[in-house]
Amino acid sequence: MNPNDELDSQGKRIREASNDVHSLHKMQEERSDYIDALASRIEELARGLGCQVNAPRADDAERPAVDPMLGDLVAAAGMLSEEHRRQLDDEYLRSVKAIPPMDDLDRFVIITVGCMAILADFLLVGVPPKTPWTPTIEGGKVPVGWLSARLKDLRPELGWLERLCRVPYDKSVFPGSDIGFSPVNHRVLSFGHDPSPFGYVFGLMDIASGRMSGTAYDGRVFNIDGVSPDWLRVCLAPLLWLGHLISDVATPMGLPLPGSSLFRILRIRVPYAPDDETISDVVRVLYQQGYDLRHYLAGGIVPGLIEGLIRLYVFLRGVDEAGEDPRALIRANLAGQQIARMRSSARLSSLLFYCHSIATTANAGKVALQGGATGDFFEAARAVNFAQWQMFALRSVQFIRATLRDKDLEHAVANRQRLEAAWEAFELSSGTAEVLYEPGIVENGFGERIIL
Amino acid sequence: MKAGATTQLDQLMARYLRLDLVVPLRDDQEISSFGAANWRIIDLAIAVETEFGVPLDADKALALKTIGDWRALVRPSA
Repeated sequence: MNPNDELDSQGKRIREASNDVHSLHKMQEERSDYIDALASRIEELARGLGCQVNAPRADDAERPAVDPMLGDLVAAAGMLSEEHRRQLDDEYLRSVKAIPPMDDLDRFVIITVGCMAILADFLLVGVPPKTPWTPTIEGGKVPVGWLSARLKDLRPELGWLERLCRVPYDKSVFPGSDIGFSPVNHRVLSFGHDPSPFGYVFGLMDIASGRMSGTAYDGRVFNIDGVSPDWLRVCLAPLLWLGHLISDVATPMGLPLPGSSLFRILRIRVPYAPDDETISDVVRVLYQQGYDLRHYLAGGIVPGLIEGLIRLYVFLRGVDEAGEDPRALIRANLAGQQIARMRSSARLSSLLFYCHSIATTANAGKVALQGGATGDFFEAARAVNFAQWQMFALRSVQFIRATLRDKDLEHAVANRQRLEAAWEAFELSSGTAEVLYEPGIVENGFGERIIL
Repeated sequence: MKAGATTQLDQLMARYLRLDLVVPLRDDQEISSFGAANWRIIDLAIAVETEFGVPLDADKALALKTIGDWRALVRPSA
């Protein structure tokens, strides 16, 4: 049955019952008046006979003082207009917001952590230190990142590991070929040097087959013969792959960014890039100019800072709130516990999203500042914090999912709690239904204030 | 030997600066006249360093203004 029809029929039933009760109430009152009149007549006749009689009057219990069925409630239940129903539906849907509203402390923490992230991005990450293949361009405003420079200064002696973990895709020179390999760029051009699942798969395939796969300097895919595989190396392929990456990570050119091989395949023109440059070219040139795995890891300090501080704040506030009433969660039913978890997760998602938005916007500003000051595409691109953008993309997806999640259970529970509170108020007020429809700011049952 | 090195250099230039070598390159031709972006010239420098063993870097490569400058660079090593 349609809920509106059901509401109509229930309203009619209540109205009929109300009319019946009202008639009975009237009859009872008439009978009580009649009894009282008879009692008065008896007493008057007795006085005429010279004696005194106290005739019984109608009992107070038989004379109800208040109409038990309230007219305005009946009207509310049975005679709702379309507009009123729409209003109620709207009120129902607005009773729970997808993302719990923030308070002043939340805003303060987001802005503070956001500012710390901006400082970290500018001073600790900055731009990567130059390589011999980074042209000197005057006017840059973004300094070389302190953390990035310190990471690149680390040069542990790992020659023994490199000798131990020889792989067929480590050849760096192919004289006379048009692949464009050199010791400067052979790691970004071979798939096996990509520190990602993609690189792992191709690295293992190359070790097993003794071949070398990758992309030429201009993004063309190649697969060429290497050395014959031996069984021991094939069996130890995952260890060889990992060991070889570790031996390469602290070399002057380092390792390319995770997933760079995938982007190397994309021979798509980049808007505003000079001289028909493709995504494939940008990835390679950035690597040649010092944007390697170490700088990417240094960039990770910004999202890491945000994640750590925001989660710590949520944890501390969660403990504080639970401390006020630690039995609340235990008393809550299963639905209540699930809703509490969902709303807590949505709140964390929103705090992280807003904070990452600040840091990412600031990084875009950093890129624009460096690009504007130098007028060079690659100087601007070197200021991009890819780790921050990746985390921002991830948190944006989670925030959108939290916003669009199914909220039926939350609506139902919040409205039930609100109705219970309203019924209590209704019972305490001597019978006016107006308390049910008071407009203004109310709590939605999760302790969140919403405006109706 | 010198001619071979020059030919190889011309081929590298054709590949990295995207030149159509219908007409042979002349020593007095300006690199900037080809309209190649700096990153392409640096790619050429990396290839020249790898193929000819000439020590180069980005700033040195961008300072070479003409075809003749590049040829002079590879001749001693050829």
